[in-house]
Amino acid sequence: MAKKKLGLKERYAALTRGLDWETTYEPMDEVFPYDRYEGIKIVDWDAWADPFRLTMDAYWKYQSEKERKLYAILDAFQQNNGQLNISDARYLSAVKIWLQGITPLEYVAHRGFAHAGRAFRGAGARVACQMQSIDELRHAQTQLHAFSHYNKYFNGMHNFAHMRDRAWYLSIPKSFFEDAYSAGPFEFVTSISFAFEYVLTNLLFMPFVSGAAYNGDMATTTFGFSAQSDESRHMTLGLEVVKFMLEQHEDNVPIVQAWLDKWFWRGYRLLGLVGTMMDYMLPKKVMCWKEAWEIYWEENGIALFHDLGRYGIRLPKHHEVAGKEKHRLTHEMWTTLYQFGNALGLHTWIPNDEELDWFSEKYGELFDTMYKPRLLYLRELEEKGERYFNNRLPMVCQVCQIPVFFTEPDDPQTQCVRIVEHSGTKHHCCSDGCKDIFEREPEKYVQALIPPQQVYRGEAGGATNIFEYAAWLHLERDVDTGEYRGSPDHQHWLEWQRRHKAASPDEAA
Amino acid sequence: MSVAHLGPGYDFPSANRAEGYGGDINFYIQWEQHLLIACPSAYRAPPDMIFGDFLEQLFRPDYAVHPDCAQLDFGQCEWRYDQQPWQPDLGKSLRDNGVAHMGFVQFRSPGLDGLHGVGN
Repeated sequence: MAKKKLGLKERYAALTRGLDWETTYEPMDEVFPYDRYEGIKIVDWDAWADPFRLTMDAYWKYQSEKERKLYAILDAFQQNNGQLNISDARYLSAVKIWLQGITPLEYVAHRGFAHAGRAFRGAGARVACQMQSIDELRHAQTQLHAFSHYNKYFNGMHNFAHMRDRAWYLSIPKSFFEDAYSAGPFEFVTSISFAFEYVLTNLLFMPFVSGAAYNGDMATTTFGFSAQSDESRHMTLGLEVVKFMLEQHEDNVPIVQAWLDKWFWRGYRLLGLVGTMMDYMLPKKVMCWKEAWEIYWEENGIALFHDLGRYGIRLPKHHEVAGKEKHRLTHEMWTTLYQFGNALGLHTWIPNDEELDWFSEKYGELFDTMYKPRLLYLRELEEKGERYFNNRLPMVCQVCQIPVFFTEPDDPQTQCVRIVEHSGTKHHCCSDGCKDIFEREPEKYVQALIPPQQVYRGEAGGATNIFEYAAWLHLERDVDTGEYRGSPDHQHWLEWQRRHKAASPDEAA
Repeated sequence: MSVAHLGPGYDFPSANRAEGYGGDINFYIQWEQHLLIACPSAYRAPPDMIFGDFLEQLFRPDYAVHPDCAQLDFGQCEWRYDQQPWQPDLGKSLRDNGVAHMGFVQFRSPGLDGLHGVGN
């Protein structure tokens, strides 16, 4: 009798849940110690609906096919000097912030999902997390390979892993992920898979990948396409895990709501860096932060939360503050990065007139009355040879670790600072959103290593000022750091463009 | 609320407690309505430092970029400490004025309201 071939569904069941068993030598609670202490009640793990029925053999097959295509294009990009075809060398600041800030997160996500993939006692959830763990490792590797070509020609990319553990602005993404993966597995998956990858992911990928395409960066664009099918799998997992928790027990609802409040706000704060990248670092603009926020959060994100209303979930706290900040967030953040440029591993500059007009068109009156004169004043200083750097360390938010530059939700002329206190020590937060997060788990956030405090305590290689601190990050002054205009990156770019044009047959004819 | 945790006790000392500063203090100052300087500034100083000396020797050079800075008369400013009204004595030390570790000093300078009429 001919062997019966298993259908896709049966094959998936046999290769995932079919390999699982109830332990008998040791109690299940001791084998899986992490999936109950957060308070999430799971009545029936079998009710987990596998969001994508992918077996390991099929996974290897798909991924290796994608890999072959990706590396063929990366090779062609390198052999054809693809770095000369980008819009402008200022674009490299966007690549640098991705490499320094986001790529290390992919690696940490790999670790976080490996942990979650061990911690859940339900086999369906475990398998989904294990595959995502491998995806994330692959994303870290492929990003590094895509960017490595730029490292041969531009500064600031030589020591990203070292910088990741030391640099003040990289403690923003770092602390985000460390907060997530030091939580239990359910909170980790809610924070990364749902809040970040499902709700906010378009705000990360759209600016970077479309931004790369608009600016002629074929390497990053190709990586983006290669990661896209993985990302849709990750989003499905995010939605599934949240619905699963909400359907399993009504006691889970307030716990999940508190996590959504927290991770919406943390995700939004982290995206401030991305918004600033899209508004200021992309020489050719895709859309502005305000428009992206309106489409991806105010339309799509809010509709999603309304769908979750049937489980008793409401919109995340303080989402309306983000709506008020959308007019000013990126302008406030750019002038912050600009002035702390002596300790940044990327270049900053004042936008040109064409860009200022684009801001006026997109942001209207507030930009024209407040931020444009501020930028023009800084340009005036630069033209007098007095390019402004703020070399005094700033106050930093104890939760999101962003320097406290945000203004009051209803008053863009007044800085927003919130004081919190725990066991006799005061701390500062940038917003009511971060203050709420601190007060919910103060024992966690008092442990945060805040970079300026670290410097003043003498724990940053003995650095006593911003220049010694930058050296401790392995940044060379005015080569890796500082103003774009006149930097080695800028000078090289002008020279390469001149030679490239001279060498092209069109010009020669 | 507190952290959900496994095992007994989840409590750690603050990473930034005063003992880490060898007798000095870490505190913050902000000049309101002068957003050209993006954030409140952080300082480490001995608590015996005279407040007026701190303002002239450390604060003023750091804020010299702002055209209002040269005309700034600290005696005419309106002060707050930890967001409460406060009347410091410029001739006394930080300690005697009540400036402690992680304290937050803010001031307004009536008449010097930042650039462009919008607090820049």
